[in-house]
Amino acid sequence: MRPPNRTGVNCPYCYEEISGQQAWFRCTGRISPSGKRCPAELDPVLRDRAGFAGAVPPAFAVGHRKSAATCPKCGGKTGFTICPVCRRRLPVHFGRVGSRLIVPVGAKEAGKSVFMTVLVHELMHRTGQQLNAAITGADDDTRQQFTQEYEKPLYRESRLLSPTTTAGDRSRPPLVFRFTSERRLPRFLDGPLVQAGPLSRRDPQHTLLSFFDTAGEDLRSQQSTEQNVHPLTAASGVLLLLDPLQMRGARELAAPGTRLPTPGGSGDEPANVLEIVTDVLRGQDGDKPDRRIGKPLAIVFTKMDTLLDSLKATSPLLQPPPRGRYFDERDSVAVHTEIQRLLARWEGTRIDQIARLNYDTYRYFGVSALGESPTEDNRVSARGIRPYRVTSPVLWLLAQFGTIPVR
Amino acid sequence: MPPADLYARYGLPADIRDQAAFERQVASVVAFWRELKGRRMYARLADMLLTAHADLERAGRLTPNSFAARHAEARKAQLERLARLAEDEARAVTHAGPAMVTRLLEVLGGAVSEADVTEALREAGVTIVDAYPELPAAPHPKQADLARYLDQLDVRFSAVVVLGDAVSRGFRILGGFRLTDGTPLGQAEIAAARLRIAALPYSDPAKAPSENVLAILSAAARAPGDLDTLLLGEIVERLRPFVRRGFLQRVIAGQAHELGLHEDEAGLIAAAMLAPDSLGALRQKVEDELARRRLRSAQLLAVGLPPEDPLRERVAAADAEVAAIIRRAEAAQAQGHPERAAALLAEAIALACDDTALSERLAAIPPPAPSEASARMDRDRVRITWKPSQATAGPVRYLVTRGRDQPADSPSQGVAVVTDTQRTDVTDAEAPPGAELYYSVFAARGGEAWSLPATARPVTFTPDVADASPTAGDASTGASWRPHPGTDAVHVVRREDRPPRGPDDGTVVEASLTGFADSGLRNGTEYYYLIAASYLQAGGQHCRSAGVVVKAMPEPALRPVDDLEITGRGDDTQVLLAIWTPPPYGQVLLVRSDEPMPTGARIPPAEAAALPQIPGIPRRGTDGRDVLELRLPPGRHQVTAVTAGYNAAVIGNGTEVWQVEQVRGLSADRMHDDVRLGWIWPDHATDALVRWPGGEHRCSRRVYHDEGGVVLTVGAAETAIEVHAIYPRRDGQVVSAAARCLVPGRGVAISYRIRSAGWWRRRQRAVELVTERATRLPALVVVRATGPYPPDDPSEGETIERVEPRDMTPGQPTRFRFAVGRGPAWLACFVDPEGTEAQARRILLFPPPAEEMRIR
Repeated sequence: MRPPNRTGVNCPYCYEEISGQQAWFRCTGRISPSGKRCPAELDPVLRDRAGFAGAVPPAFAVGHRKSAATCPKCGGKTGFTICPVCRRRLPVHFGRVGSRLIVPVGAKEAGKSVFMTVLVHELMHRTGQQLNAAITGADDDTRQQFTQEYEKPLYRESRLLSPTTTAGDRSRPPLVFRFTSERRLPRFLDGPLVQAGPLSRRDPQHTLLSFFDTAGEDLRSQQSTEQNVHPLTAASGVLLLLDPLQMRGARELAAPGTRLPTPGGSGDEPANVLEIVTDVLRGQDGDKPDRRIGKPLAIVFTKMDTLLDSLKATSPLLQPPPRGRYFDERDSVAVHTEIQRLLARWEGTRIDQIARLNYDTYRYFGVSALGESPTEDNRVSARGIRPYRVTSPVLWLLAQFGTIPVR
Repeated sequence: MPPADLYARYGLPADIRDQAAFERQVASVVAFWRELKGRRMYARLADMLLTAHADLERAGRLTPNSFAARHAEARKAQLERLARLAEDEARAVTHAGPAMVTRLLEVLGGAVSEADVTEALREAGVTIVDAYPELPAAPHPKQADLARYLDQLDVRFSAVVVLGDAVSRGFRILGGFRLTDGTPLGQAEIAAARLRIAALPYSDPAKAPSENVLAILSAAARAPGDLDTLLLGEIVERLRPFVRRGFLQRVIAGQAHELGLHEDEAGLIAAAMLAPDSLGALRQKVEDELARRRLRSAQLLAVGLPPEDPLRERVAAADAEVAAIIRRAEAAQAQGHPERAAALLAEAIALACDDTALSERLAAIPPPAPSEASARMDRDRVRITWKPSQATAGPVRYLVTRGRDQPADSPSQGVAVVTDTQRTDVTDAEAPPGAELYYSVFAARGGEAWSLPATARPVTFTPDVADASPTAGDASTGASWRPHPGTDAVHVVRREDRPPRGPDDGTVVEASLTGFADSGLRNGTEYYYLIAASYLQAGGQHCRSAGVVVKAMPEPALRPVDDLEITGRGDDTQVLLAIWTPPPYGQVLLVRSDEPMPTGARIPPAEAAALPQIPGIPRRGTDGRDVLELRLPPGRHQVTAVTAGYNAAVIGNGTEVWQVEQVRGLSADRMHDDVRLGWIWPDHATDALVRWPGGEHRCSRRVYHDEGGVVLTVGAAETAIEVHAIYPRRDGQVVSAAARCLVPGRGVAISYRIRSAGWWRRRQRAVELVTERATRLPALVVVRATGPYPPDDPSEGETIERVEPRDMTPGQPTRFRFAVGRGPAWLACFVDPEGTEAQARRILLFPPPAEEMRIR
């Protein structure tokens, strides 16, 4: 089930592959030992690619990758590595720690931004404690943007996030987080004697996670998807968010008082969204039409809180979510099987057929980011945000990447 | 015209000797002139310059030496001309300012310098000064008087009266008067002169004018600088006729010198008087004074203007107009129309407001009398009002007098209540009580010419007692007050049903000058008291005030409530119970406040009525205590019992009450043995306490929001859960009433596994069932399905095995084996839908992993 190892490294901001290119640095702009200081100036590449039109110290290329370089203009030493393509500053230790690009995609109103916000918040709090892991913003923009534009409105002001703008808006950079956990020991060493001894102090293990918050409108057709969701092709794993309430069979089962989504066109139907995403990913692997897609795909059904009442008491979705310091494969498979059955009830087997025939590694998940339907005036329920199984898809992807243990 | 100076014309330095540099500069300048020919504005000048240049060139004079020789000749000629002009000027002036230097420079062109001009004038006998001394713009106010006395003495300068002939031998005036030998003129010199004059016989005609002169000088000497201004003004006024008649400066200076003034200062003062700037400043001052309607001041200043100056005519015209108005006023007064005369005088004053004589004349005309004067008692004072005088002019002021037993005919009679007011009312705070008082009001225009009086009807001043304050006790009442100092006695009468109408209407109560005490009364009855002050009149009779009424109700001493308790009602509502023992007398009010109230304090009834009262009628409990249900808004409250009587209220004990909101919208969703809880937090609650049978969990608001609500593990049974909101307090915490919910129990969990029956039984499978607790297993069916997913319902496949009901015990798996048939399929167990066991509904049958359910 492990995805094939990727040999390339992609920029976590522009998602271009940069492993084969020269290493680039940006001068610090401070006075160098020789008394010179590089003046800040407009970087047209940074402006065009990242939308930053301010003045920055000059950028320069060096022959090979290293952790620091000397500015040819001022002679000062700099450790500010930048992407050779978009010229954004890369996170610390980029290239020396694992870097995974996770792209949440989904139809309009599937709740991607809310899902991503609650997911990161949960990783920062409850799930972080559970896994003994920490997730932090890898750059100032991410820290600022996540806090101000995602977490504050949703958690502090209890209002739903505005619809995401399309990816054509270049000023919307991905959010890049650093996921830090403890390096795993071989199982035979991971016993109580070792935990009390000198081996108990384990080294940290870092993984960069880049989330690109796509707009639902980007998935209306394959053409718009290919034009705007370039990150899909560079993604290490894809989170496909589908709204079960867009399925006729599920709408009828929703709890009374559920706020049903606006029925969209055919482009918003979950099966069609999966087809479009599959075509985009297939286009990337077009040279191997006889092979399934190796990229892991988490097919996440959102807003499950509205459908829990329709489930049998023995449904895995009504069992307590796992709370161990590992990914619970048995629970996940049980949920996967349950959703397979539910899909047949909600819409038929089309989604499962597409997934089964096109992907080597895929898994179904049922989540609810808010835990309760929002109010008519787009506010979080007065009971607050009570997520349900919201981190399971990402934990599955992290388990696929080998970042967290699986049992 | 081209400059005569060739150096200036060609832009050459005067000391140029280098022929090459000379030629370069000349060529450059000539080229520039040729350029100028192309410009219409300079074409003519350029032609003239080029023509003159051609002449010089032809004459061979375009050399440094030639220029130097020509320049020297030109300068010599100009200096000779300057000397002649300076001599001519010196015939007219002794002193001159920078204006004369500038004038000569302009005439002589650039050939001579400013230093040349100054030197030429100095050699001619003219002194050049940078600025002239400042002279008095107008005559000193005493100048005219002084001049009159000096004329009587036939003396031209007042200093002569003090210092004698020494003055004619020379003195200086600028910077302070002093004789040439340095003797000043001050109080000491004036005093010495007075002694000398005093010795003259009265028959000497010089004695009186001399003394007057010395008096004027002595008065001026008392103000710093005033005497010098007066003396300088004398000099200036002596010279002013010469200025007006157009005499030359040297002549005017000679006149000053003849007075004994030092020659240099005489020249300076003469030059200053002729300076054009002095005249302009004087004219402006005259204009300003006319604009401000200060005609007399303008007249004094206008004396310094030339006779033909039009401003003098304007001043004279204004003076004539004022004079005409005054004549009309005099005529009106003579014809018996004083108000007409006053109006005309006011008109004249408007034109000459600095004429004090006019104001005095107006003040001498008495205005019409005020009218409708009245006097009435106003508590312990008498208030007098009147309608104003109908005077047409002048600021009218009033004088009010008080006459005892008769009115005043003139302002000097009676006692003055107020001597000068512009108001039309006054209060007499010193009116004597008991007497008949007559108040008269007089009007005047600022002087001593008073109108006839307006007299008010007489008033007898009998003030009531002040600040009467009733008290009440057990079957007794009392009162205290403040009497007027002239009070002879105080009479009090009492009634029960209504206020007494007069001193004889009711029961007489004995009273002192400051109060009374009345006993033997009935508690709970309202008593009215009329309190009247009595005053002794001059004839020995008494007169009484109208009287004030107070009321009082005897009542026993109020007892504060000292056992107020506030408790919950014993249910989960927000209703509280306040319980207290009712005092023997008075009504108990419960009041709500933010801070504790002082227990035992007495407050007036009005203050008690203004307290925020908790509404409701208490009911009497079987134990004799009163009970009131309280519904308070959320927050902290101080509830205090107040015993209210008729005359006062007394504050009893209080207790702090925290009324806090419960959590709302409690929801609970079972997930097997877990329950997911959610609720709406009330404002200001920081924590919540969750309780269920066998457990308790405290959760902070922060953790609830950051970690997504609360999840409890409660087990399989039906569970009652209650949630309390917790509020922090300085001294601990407040726990709200509980919000409750009941979570239904779940069925008995039985899980099964599907295993191979052994390699030798390949088409058989074994099912192993495990229960979590002892139960009766209902009838089961094993279903074989060939769909894409494991079956979720018996109807999705074919029943291939049925297991009869049986008892199960934890730890003892139940097993059975069955044949599965050929081909790939899914197997699953279900409770037999046709079974009759009631327990079937309480069983949760958990399937194994999907892979175990698959038959390949």
